[in-house]
Amino acid sequence: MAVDIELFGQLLPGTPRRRVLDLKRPVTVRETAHLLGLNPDDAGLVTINGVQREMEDVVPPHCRLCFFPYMTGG
Amino acid sequence: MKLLRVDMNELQVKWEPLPVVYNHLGGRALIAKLLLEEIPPRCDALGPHNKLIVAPGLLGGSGVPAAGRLSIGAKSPLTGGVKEANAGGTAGDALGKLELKAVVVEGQPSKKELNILYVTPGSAQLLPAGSLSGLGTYATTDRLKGQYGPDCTVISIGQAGEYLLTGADIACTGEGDQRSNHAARGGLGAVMGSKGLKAIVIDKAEARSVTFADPSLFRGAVKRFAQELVNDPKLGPKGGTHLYGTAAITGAVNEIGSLPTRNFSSGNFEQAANLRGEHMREIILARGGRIGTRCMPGCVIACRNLYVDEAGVPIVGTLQYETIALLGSNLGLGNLDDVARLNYVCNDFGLDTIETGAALGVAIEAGFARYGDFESIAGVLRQVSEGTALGRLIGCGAVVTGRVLGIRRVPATLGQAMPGYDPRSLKGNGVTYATSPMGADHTAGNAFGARNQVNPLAVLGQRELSLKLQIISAMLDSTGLCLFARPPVIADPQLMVDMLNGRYGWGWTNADLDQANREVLRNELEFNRKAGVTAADYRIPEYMREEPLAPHQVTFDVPDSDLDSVFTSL
Repeated sequence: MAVDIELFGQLLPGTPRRRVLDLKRPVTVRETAHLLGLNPDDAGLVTINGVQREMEDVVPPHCRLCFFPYMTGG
Repeated sequence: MKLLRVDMNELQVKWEPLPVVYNHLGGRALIAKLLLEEIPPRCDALGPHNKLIVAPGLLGGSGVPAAGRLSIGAKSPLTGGVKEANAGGTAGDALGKLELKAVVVEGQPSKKELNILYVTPGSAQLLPAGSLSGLGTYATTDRLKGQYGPDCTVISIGQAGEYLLTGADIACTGEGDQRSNHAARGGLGAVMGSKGLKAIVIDKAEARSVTFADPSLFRGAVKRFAQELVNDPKLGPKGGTHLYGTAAITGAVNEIGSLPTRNFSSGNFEQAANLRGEHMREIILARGGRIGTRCMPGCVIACRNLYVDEAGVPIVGTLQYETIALLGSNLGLGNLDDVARLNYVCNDFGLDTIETGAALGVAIEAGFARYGDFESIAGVLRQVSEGTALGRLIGCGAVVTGRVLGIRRVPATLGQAMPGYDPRSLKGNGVTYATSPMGADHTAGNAFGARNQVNPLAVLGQRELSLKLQIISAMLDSTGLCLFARPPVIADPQLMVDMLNGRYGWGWTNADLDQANREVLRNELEFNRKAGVTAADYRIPEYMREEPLAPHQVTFDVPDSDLDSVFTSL
């Protein structure tokens, strides 16, 4: 299943911000982060289709998955 | 410590020793107390009985990183209630070093002439503003710096304040050549204009250092505090706030569906990628602008930028998230150059970019400009300085604009426009907008940073979250601490207690600090009650309870019973 992924801010500098991962089996957000080479602890916010999610949530098919660094509102 | 009273009736100044009951108060806390004790709550906010209060926080001038914000307050002509707005820059530090608790501007001159107030350590005097009348904040600042020296601090209003437009703000200078730190919300620039005061100049050259009751305790706490800031992944040298400024959150707010878009008709903007902090950084660095500079002395976060055009010529500094949201996506503009140019115009006229952006969105909905069309939008904005009827409407903010132009979809509570978070998809902010004595003001209790504690789309827990955030905000605004510097003192309130005890020798406990913060809100709520503000005035607009917001198709559904009980445990 294809998952549309976007990285924001200073996460994994020097790598493409957007990519499509073809996942062969259901995986969690944490596993997806590892597949990307991203330390899950560096992510302050994860969203799937615009809704905040946790690291242990399973990534649904054909979704948009975003990883954000730690942020603070002004 | 002392107060400086400025009598605009007689054009006289008077120094007063600080009454003992005000010893523990600074910034917003002192403003709330003075408003409650000295201003008739039902007075005309632009009349002679209102007072403009300029007060550094408790830590102003003491050298604490990011703790030099200046609070300015009065009865608001926009909300009809209490208002405190604060700004970075050098003013809080300069007044703190003068051991000046507050400048209280009273009365109204009999002649419609403008004055400036010049403050030095031992003296203060009112002087005719002369040819400064009619100038914008940039030119006003340049003239005054030319006259009083490059190191002085200037607090000024533009044409909007002179016209008594209720969206007018107050500009403060910062480090180096910065001229645009704004105490933006609540129409306080109009109050300053109503006093016939064009500017306050504070002489830095003679400013002294403050004294400390327990220097060792103070230094230790400040060192820990600064180290915590540097270590914080959000705020340190590798953190998004430093790298991308406040615009670091643009992508996330858009993704969660809370980015005001086309007069708050959607929470997603299709061109949001062009407005992100990451994109802004690339543009600024490629063009030779500045990133990661500071507005206040000693700040270790340094979130400020200088946005420049393709030729490297400065347009505006600093370009911030709230401005990007309200003058960008809210107007359908997906180009940072356009947003920066509108930002400059607002700064120069002395207009709150949030209020003005919301008013322009309403005007677009009424057909006076077009979404995404910079020229049509800029044309309407320029009318503010030209003094046309439409320009004055825009300058008076979103509610007045909507009322006159017949638009019902006005994103405001308590007469004040909402900032860059739609309350339907960030419901904690909605609770703050609908209960804070400040009206719709994200700085009064912003739930965006607490999204991991309470689901932004859920109702459950928002009431308790908003109260907690509002109490924290009262502390920040009373001590002069920047919002971004809050994580260390939230994680360990003893840090703040130690800094205050080290500075003043109060022997406070955490419980004392907590009570002091709560007292700020109690005083503000009491002032508003006496001013005639009712629960209905605070409410989220009806259309936001009925009109689903894309992409999550959510309404603001926090029940009134939750809103009415936010302060039950205060």
